[in-house]
Amino acid sequence: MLVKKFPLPLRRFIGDPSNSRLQEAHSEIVRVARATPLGELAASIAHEINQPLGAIVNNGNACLRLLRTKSWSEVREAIAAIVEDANRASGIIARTRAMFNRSAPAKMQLQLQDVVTDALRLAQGDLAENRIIVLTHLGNDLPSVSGDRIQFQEVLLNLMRNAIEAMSQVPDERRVLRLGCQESELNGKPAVLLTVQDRGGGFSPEEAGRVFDAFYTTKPTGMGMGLRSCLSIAEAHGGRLTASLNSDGPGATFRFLLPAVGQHRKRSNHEPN
Amino acid sequence: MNQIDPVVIVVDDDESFRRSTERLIRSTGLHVQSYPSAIEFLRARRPDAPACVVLDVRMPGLSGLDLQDEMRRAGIDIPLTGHGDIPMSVKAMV
Repeated sequence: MLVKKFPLPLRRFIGDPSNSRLQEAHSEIVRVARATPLGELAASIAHEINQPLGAIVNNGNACLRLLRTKSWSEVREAIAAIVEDANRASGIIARTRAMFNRSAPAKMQLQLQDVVTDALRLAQGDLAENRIIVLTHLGNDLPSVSGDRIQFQEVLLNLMRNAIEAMSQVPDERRVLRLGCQESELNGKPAVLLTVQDRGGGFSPEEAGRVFDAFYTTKPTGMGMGLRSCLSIAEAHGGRLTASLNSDGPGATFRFLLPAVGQHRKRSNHEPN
Repeated sequence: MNQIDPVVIVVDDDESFRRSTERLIRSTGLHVQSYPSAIEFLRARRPDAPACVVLDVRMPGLSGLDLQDEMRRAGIDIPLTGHGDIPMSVKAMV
């Protein structure tokens, strides 16, 4: 069930004339999702907060009238609704700040494949419960990346959770989650690419432009912060996060691309796969 | 409820906002009916009473302006009032 919060048209990310973007547009990738410009983001945040505020004004005005007729139980309901809406608005503000509070990541040199194995361990229960078949293609001799391990883990867990949800209506034997790490390129320099592929419902062309929008969600109880946060993390690390429909079957693939640093490191033979 | 009493119909997809609008209108002594979407309003039984509709123009699915077109096509003579910018109001009135 699609729950649109605020319709935003597809836009190019402002200030990004990089070659890799043009290459993406010409590659086999169909419908790549992009971030929205700041102005539209501000408008959608304003819209989200105006809903509970508007309700508070209505409830408050209702109370002023209801007090005259001494309708105590209705007044009590209105006041309870006011408190709930104020908390809702405050929650939106807190989560909005969290979405963008990626300015000072704790940077360390690390191997993205290690983040993947850690995240798989953390998500084990969730994956097993949903009978997901996990296939990994983690490279052996990948360059390191620099960044905040916990933030990268958060991205991965978010992407995996979304993949699980996307496949909730798929028969068990087709619930395949494919995780890959490979060498790649970003702006002409070496990079590491992490791909998370599901075989779920994917998204429509209309939805493609909104996948990373703040407050956009297709989950009935979702808040639409997850992918926007992941995008912020990617950007704070000089990387990219994109999504596209699979060309070889159903579902979508999310690509988390990070610049490589330092020397290659060979994975030792005794490390678990 | 007396069939002749006027009724206000509220159509808004935000539940808390819709309830608060209902409460406010009810506190003035008017009867209220509410629907979470234009589709559900169109599916419901029309009131046998003078009515007006308060709606959110920006709703997923059938928007407020689309709803106005639908009602006109169905020959329903219900005046609409809502909030919006000037271009929207002009479009709605034409």
